[in-house]
Amino acid sequence: MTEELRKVFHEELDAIKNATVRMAGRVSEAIVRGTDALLSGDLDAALALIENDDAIDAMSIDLEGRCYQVLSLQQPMASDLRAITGALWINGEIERSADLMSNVCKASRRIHGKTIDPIVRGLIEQMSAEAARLFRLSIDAYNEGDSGLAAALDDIDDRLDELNEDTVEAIFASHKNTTEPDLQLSVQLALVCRYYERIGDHAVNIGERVTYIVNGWMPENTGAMRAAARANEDKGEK
Amino acid sequence: MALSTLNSGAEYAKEKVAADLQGKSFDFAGAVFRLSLLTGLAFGILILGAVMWDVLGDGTGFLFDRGWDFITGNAKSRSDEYGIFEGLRGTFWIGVFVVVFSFPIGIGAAIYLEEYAPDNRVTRFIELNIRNLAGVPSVVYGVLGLAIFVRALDGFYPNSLDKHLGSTTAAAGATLAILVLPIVIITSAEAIRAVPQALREGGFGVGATKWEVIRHHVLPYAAPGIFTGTLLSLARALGEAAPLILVGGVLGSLGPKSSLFELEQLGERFTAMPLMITQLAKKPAFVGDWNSATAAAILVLLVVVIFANLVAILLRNHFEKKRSN
Amino acid sequence: MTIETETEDTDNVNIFEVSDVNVYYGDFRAIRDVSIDIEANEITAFIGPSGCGKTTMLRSFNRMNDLIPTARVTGELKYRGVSLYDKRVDPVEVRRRIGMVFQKPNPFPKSVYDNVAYGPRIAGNVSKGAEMDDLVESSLRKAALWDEVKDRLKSSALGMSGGQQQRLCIARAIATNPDVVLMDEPCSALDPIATGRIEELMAQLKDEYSIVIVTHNMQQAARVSDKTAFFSVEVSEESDLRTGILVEFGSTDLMFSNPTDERTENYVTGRFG
Repeated sequence: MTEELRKVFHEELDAIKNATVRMAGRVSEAIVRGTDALLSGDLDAALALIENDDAIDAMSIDLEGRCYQVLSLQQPMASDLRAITGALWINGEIERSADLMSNVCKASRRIHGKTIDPIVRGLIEQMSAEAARLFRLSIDAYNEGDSGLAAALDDIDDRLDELNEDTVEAIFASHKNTTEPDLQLSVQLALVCRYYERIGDHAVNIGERVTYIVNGWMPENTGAMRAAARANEDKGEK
Repeated sequence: MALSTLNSGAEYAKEKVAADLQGKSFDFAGAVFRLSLLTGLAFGILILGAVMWDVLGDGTGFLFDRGWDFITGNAKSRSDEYGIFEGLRGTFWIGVFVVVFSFPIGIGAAIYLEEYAPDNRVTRFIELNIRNLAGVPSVVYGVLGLAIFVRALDGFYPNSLDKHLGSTTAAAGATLAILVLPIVIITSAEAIRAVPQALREGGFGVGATKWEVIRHHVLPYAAPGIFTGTLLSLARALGEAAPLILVGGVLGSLGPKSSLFELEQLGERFTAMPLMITQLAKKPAFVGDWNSATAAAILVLLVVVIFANLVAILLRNHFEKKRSN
Repeated sequence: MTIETETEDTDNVNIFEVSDVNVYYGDFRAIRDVSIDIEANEITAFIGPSGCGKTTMLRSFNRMNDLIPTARVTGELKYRGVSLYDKRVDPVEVRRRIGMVFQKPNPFPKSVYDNVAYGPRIAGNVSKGAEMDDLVESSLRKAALWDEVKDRLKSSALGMSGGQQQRLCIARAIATNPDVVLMDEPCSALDPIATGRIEELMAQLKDEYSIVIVTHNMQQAARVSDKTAFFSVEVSEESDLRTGILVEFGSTDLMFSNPTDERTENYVTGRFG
């Protein structure tokens, strides 16, 4: 019954999605390698990853341009419209995640040569793994249009938030016995934790966009509806 | 080297394209077809030209010699005294009958068929029969006229005398009115059918009634077509001889001359131009100049018919202008 | 993707209430069991593939289907609460209140002035002279045509461009002061600029009139309408007969961003055969 009438257009939509997933793959790789560079103190690797971010920026700009082109030339509607606006949003989330990993690399340059407390190391390793997993899951959800998985991301992110708190506590704990705390190291490590935590938030955002692409409904809508209902109630009371 | 190969390649392609585009062979079949069409047209014009040449050659001199006298005179036994007034008068009244009866009835029937009649078998059957009627030979209408207007209505005419039954001007006019009725219906119906549906919808769309749509939009739009068709049918009625012979047209003089417009003559015996021409053509060629008289009468009838056609064209142009303005 | 927040002062009046309407041409059922409520002072668009019955539905609103002898309407079709197909209803009066603009511009072969004046003149509620002049001017102004034609009111309407002719047809339709204007693919014969003018005009007219428009152009429906109804064709398995059905009806932004029915989705994204 359903016959494809806009083959070229839909192929381009698929191509944009594939390119988005490929870009996400590079970011996912950067999370692992960036953490390695940080923990092993490999300055060259960190610098190479900072440069790598430029390539990801280029991919992102190119994708954004393709999205605008489809929007202006093809006037997509319904699921197509959601797919293209969703791709634009997700593109931004991925690009931002890459920037965060680039920040991790810059931090590792700043604390190059310093020794990181073993407990903190372990926690950072865990955070990285958790952030990478969350990010990969969000991209899987996008790639497969799996709104169930997308909805679960918010809960999965709780684990990363807990790890974030644990790590900050561990940073404090590591300074308990020293009279002269290394502020630069502590601040940078705390920031690094924050970066991983933020990557997790971006993954959750991607999940929300996936829900919208698939169902035309975002978790934010519920909140917006509540706000509207409250506004109406207020009006009614007056 | 590579560049020059490319160039020669492009050069070759250009030559090839030019050869394909320009190398058209002579279209022999088309030329033959065109020539045969031209021959057909030439043949028609030749025949018409011969007739006109013959009539004009024989008739003009005679017509100029006799002048007004030929038009207003009665039928006499001498060619130099002969006049065609009675024939013209009969033809005039036949025209009046056609205009007064055929046109309104025919156009009305056409409007009914196109706008009101439901599209069912009965309607289609009626339409088919009207088409067939238009093709019935005119002699048959003569028999019809004889049976209805002459025999059945004999005595209905106040002045009809026993000896010539009801063979009156009115019977002749009615017979020819009936003869052209199917043609009037068909041509009018076709003109009405050609009115774009969008025009009707536009009228209905602003709240016009059916009659308003027909009166304000359909008829004005169809008018040029209706006038062309009906006036051509009038020209046909004016030229018919066969039915008039059966209805009982007089081939000689009708006696004392009465005026063209006197209504009383409707109930009296009649003759018409085609009948007079038939009669004139039968006169002996060696007594008097009957040959020229015949040609002159034909000329007059031709002028009358051409005049009717001219009116048709002028009216059509008038309404077409009104339509597009 | 907007949130429906306008719950206040939306005391909406239904201009048409359609329930379980079927339209037949002879034995052939053109549309089946359509139920739809159309609100006043809104632009409602009918979209759908060819043969889905959207034009048939539109033409049953002002009893234009009466012109087709075999056409038959069953079910309840109410205009402002009055059943349109009641025996006592005069279709001529219906068409004065519910005007129509057609697919191809069809001005009468008369002057610009007479085209606009025709409807009021036959309705007999406006006398000649100054009153009529005012009505013609105001109708042409509403149709955004006055400035272009004010110096050539007496010249033929057929000498105008297609876009002008269509706006003249809109002026002609609103000259009878209708309640509703039905538009049957009004821009399908026009170039994009003329189309843009008509779309702009529709947005201006909706304060005074309710508009129902049939369009093949989905972007047009998306641009101009408040509500969109998607009609589709159902092909019977046994008889291969094609019947028009109403698939989905809702606010235009939802129809084009997140339609409920999969058939609507397939149609607006071009996956429909």
